Amino acid sequence: MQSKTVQELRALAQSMGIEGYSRMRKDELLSALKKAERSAQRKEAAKSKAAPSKGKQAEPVKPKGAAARKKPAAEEEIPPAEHIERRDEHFASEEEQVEDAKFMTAPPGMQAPATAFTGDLGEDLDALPPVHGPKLTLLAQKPGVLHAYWSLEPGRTARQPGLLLRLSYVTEQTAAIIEEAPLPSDYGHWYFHVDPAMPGTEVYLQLGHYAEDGEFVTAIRHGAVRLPRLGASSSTDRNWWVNDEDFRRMYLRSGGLLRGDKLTWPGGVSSPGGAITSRFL
Amino acid sequence: MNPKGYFALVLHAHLPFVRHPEYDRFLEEDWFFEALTETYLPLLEVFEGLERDGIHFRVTMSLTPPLLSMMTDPLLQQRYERYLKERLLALEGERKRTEGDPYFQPVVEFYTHFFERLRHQFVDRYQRDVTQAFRRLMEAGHLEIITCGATHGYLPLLAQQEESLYAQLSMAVRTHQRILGRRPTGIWLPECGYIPGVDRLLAEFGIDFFFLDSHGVLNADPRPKYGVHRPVRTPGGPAAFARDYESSKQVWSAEEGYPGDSVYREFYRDAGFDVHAPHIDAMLHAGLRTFTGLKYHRITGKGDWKEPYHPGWARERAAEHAGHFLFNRQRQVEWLASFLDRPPIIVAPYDAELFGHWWFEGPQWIDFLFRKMACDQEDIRAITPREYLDWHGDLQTSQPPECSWGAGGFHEVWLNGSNDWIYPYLHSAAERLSGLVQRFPDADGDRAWALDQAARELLLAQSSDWAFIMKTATSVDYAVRRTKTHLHRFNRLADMAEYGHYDHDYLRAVSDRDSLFPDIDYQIFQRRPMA
Repeated sequence: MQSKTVQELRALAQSMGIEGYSRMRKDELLSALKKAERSAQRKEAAKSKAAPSKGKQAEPVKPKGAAARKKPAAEEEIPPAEHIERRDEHFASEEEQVEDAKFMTAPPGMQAPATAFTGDLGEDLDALPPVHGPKLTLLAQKPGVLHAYWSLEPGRTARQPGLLLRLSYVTEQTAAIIEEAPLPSDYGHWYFHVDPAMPGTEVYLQLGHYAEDGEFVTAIRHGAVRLPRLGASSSTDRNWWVNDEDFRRMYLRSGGLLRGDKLTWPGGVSSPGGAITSRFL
Repeated sequence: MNPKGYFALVLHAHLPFVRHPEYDRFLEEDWFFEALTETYLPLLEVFEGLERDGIHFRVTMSLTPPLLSMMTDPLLQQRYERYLKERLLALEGERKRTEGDPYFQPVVEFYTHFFERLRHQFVDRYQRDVTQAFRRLMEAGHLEIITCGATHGYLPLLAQQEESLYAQLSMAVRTHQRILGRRPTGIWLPECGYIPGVDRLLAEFGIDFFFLDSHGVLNADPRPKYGVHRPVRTPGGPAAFARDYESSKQVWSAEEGYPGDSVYREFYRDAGFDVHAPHIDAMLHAGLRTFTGLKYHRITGKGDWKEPYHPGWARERAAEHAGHFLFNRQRQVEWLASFLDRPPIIVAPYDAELFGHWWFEGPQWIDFLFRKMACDQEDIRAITPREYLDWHGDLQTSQPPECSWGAGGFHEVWLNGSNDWIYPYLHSAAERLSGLVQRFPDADGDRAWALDQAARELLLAQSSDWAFIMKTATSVDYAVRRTKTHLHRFNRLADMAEYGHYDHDYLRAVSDRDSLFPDIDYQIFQRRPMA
């Protein structure tokens, strides 16, 4: 570090987001960089303790971008790792374990006895009556993940190739396309992964195709869906004033940072969900 | 002297409606019998003991409509009595088998007394109807009984059709009033699933408060001045109470939590799998090995080696843990009181079945906790949300975000690759039914019968338990079959109502199977003008 020129140090400082680097002397730059590095390591430590990497996770679910952009005081400086109490893996599953135990008739690992239940009033459990189309629905699953399902009259996708799902967002001034996905079948499911920190709070979904002149022709449209958000509000109530420091203390102690960071089940990747019928056991 | 803060214990009691008159015995009905045995009856015993001894205690408890329906169902009441008799008969055999065994004979004796007490409580004292025991405690002011969705439908994922939310709430309030004699003033939203706007609907049904997971209030907009330690008022009117993270963790957590203590009873070891004898086999379903509820071991440690259970030691430990919990709540309240200008409330919600079914000593822990709280200190006092609102009801208005208390904090437990296939069916069925309501606003006779039953089938299909079970992979097959069966039945009934061809044998058979909500009216699925 000592051997670097002031120019190089300034570039480094800029990349690490140190404020006022252009006015600093070399020794100031060095100490600022050292400090920034320590804090980055702390963050890293907090993060690695906080997020045992899940491997498959395509995107971090905690909207770091949103936090940085909206800058709630609570998130600006990550507290030392030992103060972050994790709602860790077994805690979340602990509640699930209890709920699951309500439905348990044999210990795990033992073959649970098969249910005796068969629909005995003429229900054909291998075939469900079709969902009458056309239908298009968009559901929020969690911050950054939206689930779409659609159902068209049989044979529609074969007759009309080039059908697309188009996900867009709207803000007060603009509307923009987030993603377009080809429609693989007459009915199915799709999980959209979007940037949790993207602008706008509402998204909408269209099913349609491009006409020859390049215009997108909408066949079905699903109205605005609000994106679930994580993170504290940045606005404070005049009549119920709370200062940043008190709020931050309560927030951390109440487990405020510890939600929405798990992604453990199938259906979490952006992939065609497959035809509905293929899901039946 | 005024306490520094308040404590609200909230127990959410729920099981999906499982009742199969078409079979003589049915494995999944054991879910309800086990919960009665280990949770509902022992909790009532604890509450009655506290009342008898004049101990101040307050518990908020949701008894969901399917649970109330099963508790008051004569067939299930009879079958539970049979369940108890079978255990007592098997225990006679167990006493002979363990004769002279210094380790297991005392455990068998303990279970014999336990089941004899239950039979006396259930048959002689309650006349097989436990709801009346809960009702009496509610009327005496110790219990605040709140409601839930009619069939525990997960509201955020049903909100595509507002009619479904309305039907879930309307049938819940009606059932609560029919069985408990009062309109509920609070609700446990199924899985704490909330989306903005639900509060407005709750207000229409006279509901004053509900519960959210911590992040539901912490992330509300604008910032809640008191964090999770006081409720906020939602824009629709009802108050939202937040789960307290610290007290939750102490009870739930596997590592630091109480239920994992080595002297407590081990849930997974069961005589149904450990003992091979004719008197044990008599309790099994068609010879298949299942849990019998006779669990003879303590947790001991992480390994497979398990020591015999010692009820006396476990009871001692439950008392210590209650003391530890209370001590920590006192420190917490002191800390909060040091900078808050109003008394905080600590809301500690749990699945009721955690106490007793999962953590066998849980009911004793509750017993010790309230005794210590009433007699040993003055910092903290047990309260219900209703009372808190009456005394300290000047609340900040704030809009909670969409959230739930499931893993991840949002909807993925109930919407993922294992269960997303159900939603097209659930949504289109709701759409179809509300269309039929519009088309036949004053149906009577067979059409009303078919439509009413169709509404029951749809509500049963909406139960969030099926999606949950599909995800956690226990009894998946049953959950899938139940979902499909209700959808099939719904379609057939809707066809009948639509085309006017009625099959009376079918109508009778299906009404006999899915018999809850005798006072249902299909109009609960009415489409209403958007607010």
